[in-house]
Amino acid sequence: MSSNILTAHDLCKSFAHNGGQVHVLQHVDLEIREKDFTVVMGASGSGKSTLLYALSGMDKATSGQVLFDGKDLVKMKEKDLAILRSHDFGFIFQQMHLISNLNLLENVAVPGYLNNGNSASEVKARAEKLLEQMGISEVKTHLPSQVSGGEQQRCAIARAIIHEPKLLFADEPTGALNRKNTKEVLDLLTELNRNGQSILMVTHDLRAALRASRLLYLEDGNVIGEMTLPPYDKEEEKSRETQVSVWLSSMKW
Amino acid sequence: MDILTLLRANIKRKKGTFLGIVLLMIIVSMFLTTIYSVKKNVRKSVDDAYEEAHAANLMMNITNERLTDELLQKVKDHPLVDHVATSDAVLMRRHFVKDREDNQSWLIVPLNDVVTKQFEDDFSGYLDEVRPISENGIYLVQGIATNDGCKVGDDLRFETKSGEYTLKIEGFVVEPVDGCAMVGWKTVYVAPETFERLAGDVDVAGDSDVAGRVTIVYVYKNADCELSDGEFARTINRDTGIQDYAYASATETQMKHYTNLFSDIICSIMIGFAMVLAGVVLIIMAHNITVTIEMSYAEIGILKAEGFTKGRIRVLYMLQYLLAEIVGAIIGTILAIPMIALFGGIFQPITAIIAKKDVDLGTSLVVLLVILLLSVLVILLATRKVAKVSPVKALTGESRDVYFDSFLTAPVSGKNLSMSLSYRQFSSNKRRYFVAILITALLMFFMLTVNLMASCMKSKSALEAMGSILCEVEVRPQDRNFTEEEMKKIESVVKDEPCINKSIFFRNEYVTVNGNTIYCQFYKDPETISMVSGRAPVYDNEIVVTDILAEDLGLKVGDTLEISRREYKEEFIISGKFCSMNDTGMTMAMSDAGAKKIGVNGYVWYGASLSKPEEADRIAKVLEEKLGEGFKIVADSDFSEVSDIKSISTAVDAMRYTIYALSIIFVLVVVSMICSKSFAQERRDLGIYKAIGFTSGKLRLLFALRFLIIAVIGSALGIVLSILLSSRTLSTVLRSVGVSNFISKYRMETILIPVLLLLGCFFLFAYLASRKVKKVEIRELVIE
Repeated sequence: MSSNILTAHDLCKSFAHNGGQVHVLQHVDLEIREKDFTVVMGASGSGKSTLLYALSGMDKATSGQVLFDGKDLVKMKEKDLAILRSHDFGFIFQQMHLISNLNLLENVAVPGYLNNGNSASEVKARAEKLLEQMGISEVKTHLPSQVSGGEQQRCAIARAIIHEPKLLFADEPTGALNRKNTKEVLDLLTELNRNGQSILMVTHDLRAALRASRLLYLEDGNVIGEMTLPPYDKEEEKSRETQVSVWLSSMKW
Repeated sequence: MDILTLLRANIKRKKGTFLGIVLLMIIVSMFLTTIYSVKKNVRKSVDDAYEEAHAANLMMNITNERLTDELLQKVKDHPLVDHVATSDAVLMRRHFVKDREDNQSWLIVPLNDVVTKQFEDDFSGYLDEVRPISENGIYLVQGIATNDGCKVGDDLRFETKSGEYTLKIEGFVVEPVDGCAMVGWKTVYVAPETFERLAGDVDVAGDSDVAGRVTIVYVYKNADCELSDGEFARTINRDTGIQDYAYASATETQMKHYTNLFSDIICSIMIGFAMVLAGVVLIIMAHNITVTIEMSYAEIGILKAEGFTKGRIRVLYMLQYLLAEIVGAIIGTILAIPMIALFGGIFQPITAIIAKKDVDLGTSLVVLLVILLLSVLVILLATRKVAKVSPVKALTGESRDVYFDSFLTAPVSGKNLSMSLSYRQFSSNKRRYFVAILITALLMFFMLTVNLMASCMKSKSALEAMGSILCEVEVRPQDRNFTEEEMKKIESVVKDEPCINKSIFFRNEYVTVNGNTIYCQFYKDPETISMVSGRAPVYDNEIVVTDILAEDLGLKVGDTLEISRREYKEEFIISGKFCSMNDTGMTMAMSDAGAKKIGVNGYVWYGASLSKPEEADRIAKVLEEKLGEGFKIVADSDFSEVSDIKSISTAVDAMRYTIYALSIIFVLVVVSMICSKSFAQERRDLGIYKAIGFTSGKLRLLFALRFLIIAVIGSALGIVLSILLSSRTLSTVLRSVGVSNFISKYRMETILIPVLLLLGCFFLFAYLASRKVKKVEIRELVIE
């Protein structure tokens, strides 16, 4: 059993709405284990993305604790959170969110440059290697607007792992992709996890959920179910799909 | 009605832009109204003062021994002359204010009824009536206070052959004709009994070289004489020859020109600057409209889908921006009222007349109306893009910004991440920042141009190159010309002193050229003349003229002109053109040989210009030992204290700091407006940068660096513009003071001060304006 990399205690997140408060996350307790491919599922509005952003420190929780390396992200200052993002966490967005005036290589390299431990030439070499691994080295000098959605998302993945994060967060990474690109992106994430990368992904796509080693189900801001799966094997995808579908049905998905 | 509702909503939503345009227009209208009003007020006050003093059309100062009754009668009998008045005066050449010799000639006259206005002792206003003067008292004009720094209560010392006189300054009066700092002689007033005593002593001592009896002749035109003052003076002199006997003469028009000269020049430069500022408002408005249309693509599409025509949408923009301009113009005009009083006072030490404080509403309104009409044109041009907005594209979000590679793109470098990222942000959207670059270039050009003008006033070599004679050591024989032997002695000292780089024996006199009274300079060594073209007047029939005089008289190099002085009349060939600020450039120069031909013999002044000014005292001592008694030897290395330069320099500095201050305010508003638009356009990118580990502080630094890059490019362009145009611009503007070839001497501080100021302001204001970066939440990137 691997150790916990991130722990949430009594995590709450509320938003002001129409003069009142909407409680999106309600006293969530959760552990994310090292080297796991954890996938959070839930219906629309269940608070999946809110949970992901709160756990990654991208958004402040209203109350509770998010512990990483013994430090509480909820109490961290902006500067420390920025260091955390540039050193320990990686993030993949649904809409890719590449910087539109940087080419793909630069998009990948820039977060690496923020990490003072690496030299600029090392970062550039690693960025080029990652783009090659992602199969987009031929378009590395293209701007995001000049490449396809799949290529953009692969670039976004390379950007997220340029600094070898301890934990990779992914928010519906295939949400904006077609079938072919979705498969390619999921294969990449699976491969990363196979190589030891801890991943926490939010999705409502069953095909994406199949890649998980651990499934969490969120409803009304609470984790109401959990399922553990063996490492993904393409040969067993059919039986895995049945197993996950049954579990999701039990969650009234 | 629908338009008004949208207009209200737009102003409310984009109040930053609205307030920015209002603020810029406040500055422009306040500045324009102030400058136009001050210019008009100064001129009007001078005109009124002349009228009140019953100033003559032609004034001449003639020493008593040269003025005959017959000559005076000829003038009185001239058909163009209404009447002639005369005033007794004592010409005093040696007078000391606070123990420092004043170099101007003073005409001492008894206090008379013509003097109707006296200043308060601090020059803040006029007294109700002119105070009686005591026997030991003297009234001066404000021009002397400006040039010599004297005040009420200070002692004045006069030297004549019959002894010294010490009088106390009891006040300052208005003498509109020669009271200003720009005129080289001054009328001062003493009690009638003091005048009688002084005049009697001068007669007895017979010391016409240091002091002498003079008659001031005032000639008034007939009411039906339609000739200009210049033509009138030429006609009178042609028919009577009286001006040939005057050692100084001037027409009313000339004196008014000298009085208004610097206020006119400074106001003209300021108006030019105000026009640039108005241009900046139009540019920033066009830029804002273009960016707003890009950013509001979807909203415009929706409006079109709802039935709004492109015309109505353009009217909406028109109303929004014109309203901002009109509000700014009204507030600015109101704020100009206290500014007019403040700025009018700047010229008082030069004109020696308190300017009125009226608002020149007529001119200001016309200019503001022109700006508004130009704005309409600019808005119409800038809103052309509204026609191209497609409702379908807008609603499907196809209009999103797409960046393309640019030839200016440089790679993002890890070693210099902040700077290279900032440059990328600039290079990938150059069009957006073109406006800021253009504005920076214009402001830099103006700042450099006034800086050049101001630093020229403080640069000996620049002033010399433009025709000023600035010598650290001056020698004047008392009451006479230098003798040949004395000149040889001085020349022997010059031979032994390598730091003397210019040695000048000089005198000047007014002569008549083709009927015009012209200031003529005589040089022992014509090679010391600052030539512009042709060659120095080496032979006895050669003369050099300034560009300004050549143009005025319609002459060119090679032409012949006739010079008359008293009984002499000779022809001279123009051998070249030279540069001189004397008599506002209306001057000519000739050699020793030429001078002798028209009866000018000997020199009354010697000056040594030094390459090492700190040697001035030592060289003065060497000359003193060599020449012995009977000479006035002055060593003064601080030429910036030269009276007329000092007063002009003060006014130019005031202008410079005003332009600096307004440039800073403009930079603040322009940076804030462009920054806020950039911020709105880049909000998503800012979120991404935060998500990948950039702090708010680092992102603000990127913003500030980007504007620093803009400022650097704009400043460089401004410097190039200045190198190409400043000299030409200043030569045109300063032509009226005799500078026809302004020589721009760029010193380190001339460029560094405005450059650092603009760069600093751009960096700081962009950093401050980007404070909203803190409010960008990464959550904004989430699509639920």
